[in-house]
Amino acid sequence: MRKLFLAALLCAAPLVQASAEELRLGFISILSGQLALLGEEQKRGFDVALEELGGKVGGVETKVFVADNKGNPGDAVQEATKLIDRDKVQIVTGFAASHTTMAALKPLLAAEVISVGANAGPSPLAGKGCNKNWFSTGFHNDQWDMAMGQYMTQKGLKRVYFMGMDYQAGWDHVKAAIREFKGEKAGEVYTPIAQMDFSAELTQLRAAKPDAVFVFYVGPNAVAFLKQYTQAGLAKTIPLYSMGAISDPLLYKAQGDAALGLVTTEAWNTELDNPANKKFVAAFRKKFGRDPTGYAARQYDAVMLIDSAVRQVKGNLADKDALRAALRKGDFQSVRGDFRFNTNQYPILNVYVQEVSKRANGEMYQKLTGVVVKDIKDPDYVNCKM
Amino acid sequence: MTTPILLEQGFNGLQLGMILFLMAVGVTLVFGIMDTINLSHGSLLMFGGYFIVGAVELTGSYGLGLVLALFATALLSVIVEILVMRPLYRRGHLDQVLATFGLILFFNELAVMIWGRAPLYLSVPAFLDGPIDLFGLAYPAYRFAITAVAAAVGSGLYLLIGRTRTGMLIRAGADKRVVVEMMGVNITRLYTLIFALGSVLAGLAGIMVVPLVSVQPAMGDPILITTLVVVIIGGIGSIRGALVGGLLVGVLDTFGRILFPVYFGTGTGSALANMTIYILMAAVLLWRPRGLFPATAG
Repeated sequence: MRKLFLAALLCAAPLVQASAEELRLGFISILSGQLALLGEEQKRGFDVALEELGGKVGGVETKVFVADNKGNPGDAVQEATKLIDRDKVQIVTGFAASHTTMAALKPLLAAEVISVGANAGPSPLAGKGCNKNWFSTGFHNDQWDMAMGQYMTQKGLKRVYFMGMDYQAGWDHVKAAIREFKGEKAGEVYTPIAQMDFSAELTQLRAAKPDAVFVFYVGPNAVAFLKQYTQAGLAKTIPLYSMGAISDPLLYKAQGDAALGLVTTEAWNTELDNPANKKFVAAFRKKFGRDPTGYAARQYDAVMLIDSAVRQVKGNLADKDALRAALRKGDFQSVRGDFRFNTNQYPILNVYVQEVSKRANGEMYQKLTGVVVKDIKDPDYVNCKM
Repeated sequence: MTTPILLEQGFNGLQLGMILFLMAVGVTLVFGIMDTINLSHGSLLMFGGYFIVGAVELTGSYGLGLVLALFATALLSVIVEILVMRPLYRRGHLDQVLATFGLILFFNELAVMIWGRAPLYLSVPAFLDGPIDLFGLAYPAYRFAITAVAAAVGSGLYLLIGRTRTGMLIRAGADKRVVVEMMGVNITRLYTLIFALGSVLAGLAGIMVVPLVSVQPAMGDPILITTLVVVIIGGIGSIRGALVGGLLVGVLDTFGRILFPVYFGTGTGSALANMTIYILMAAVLLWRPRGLFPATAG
């Protein structure tokens, strides 16, 4: 009798295991090198999300595979290939910077691995290059800057000088601002990612006598640029405009008071009044003792999006079409409020204006000062044949 | 391009050139006298930066912090020389490249472990904050100070090399290494001194640039590459070469960055600007394969 019972139990065991599928989730980002700040912060947002979900994205046991692309497109290709061949991931997220993202997506999209980007929104993949397996949850590189271009026009600025970093994101962000700004372009300069000393460029900038300056600088370059801009005495005479990533909780300490008063645009702010954002900011503050940055917020959103999609297909990860359809629906509680994808799987967003300010306790933060544009669409979606 | 702008860019180029000079001295002396390639030289710039930040935080005074940071860099360089460089003197260049490259990786990870990835900052010392009047031009006082300090160091080096016994030994070592050894000079101590001297200069360069760009892991690596270009252009083993090479590279790079985009447009111009110093290096090598002022080989 006991043997029969045990035999029956043994037969049942495989059945129990078969219905609990495992989600193999890849996370590829810049975790070492010049822009490692971004990837590390993404990972923090990722960890907060995973903790909230109890380690089970979509209610399914999740195995996470972390890959470091070292900020190098060559390494990005290698690491992505490892995720596909060795780790056999089903979904990949992360994707901090545009150049490494485009590199990593080459093998990923060729292998039809669903890739949910949490930051970089390179323009080449938003139009003709759009792909059913690439979901850019962060933003399209143009969006914040289109809004800033409109904002600068609204402010009545006549001549603006434009500067940025010399790679895909820099070109996208800066050119988008130029496009939407209806005044005169006093200059357009791109500096290499490795360049940290802007003395020559700042001299030229001053010579051009613009009404204002718009820049795209992130991470350590943002720190260097801002400090030098202030040291050259320019901060007092020529107002500086940028997008949110130029100054955030990761950079406040290094930038110091040079960052105060900086006006930027971004599609998310810690003060956004919706339940998901309040929950996320509180959880992040509890875990890390400071405000989150946009990188963490967007990665959190990406994980929650994946979670909603996996739940909708009831853990049946083999049905990729259903999974993609569920992701496309974007039916989750985003920290940015209402969230929806455009036809090219890049988001349609509200963009806000914010100003770097100080709280009563001396802590620096991005004060939300208003909405610039609602439901901004990127310019490339019309070329996407999806 | 008006004259004031040209003048200001000239100063910018001069400032960059003097920083490169400080870096190049260490590389060129070690290569020229000890026939050793030290790729980790850039890491000493990084540590100089970290040490000044730590020292100022510790003591609350920039002056005291400066002395401490220089001392710490010297100490670190002596340790590196004894532990890593000494076994490498006898080895071939490939071994030296591999070992010192490994040292770069080690130092970068060490920096991450000790100080983390986020850039650390240091304010410009209060008395150097703001612009000064330079021939009617409002130029950042701090940048001017850097140039002045580097020039003073250069003069000090000139006196050291030209007017002291140690300097004579250094020159002799660059010219005829083997003979110096055979003359009974304590070559071990000389080598340590040379290595430490070069490293302290790199550390000083790091200390001086921190208020401009902040300090972060691996910050010395791009500067090392430019330093190598300077050494190749100036000639191995020659401090004069390091100075002339540094100034040439500094000024040409600065003007290249500005002028190429003006004449060739943003895309091509930027690409050409990045290539300026390498084009210069190739041109110099075609004309003078051993650099502009090579010390006679030892």
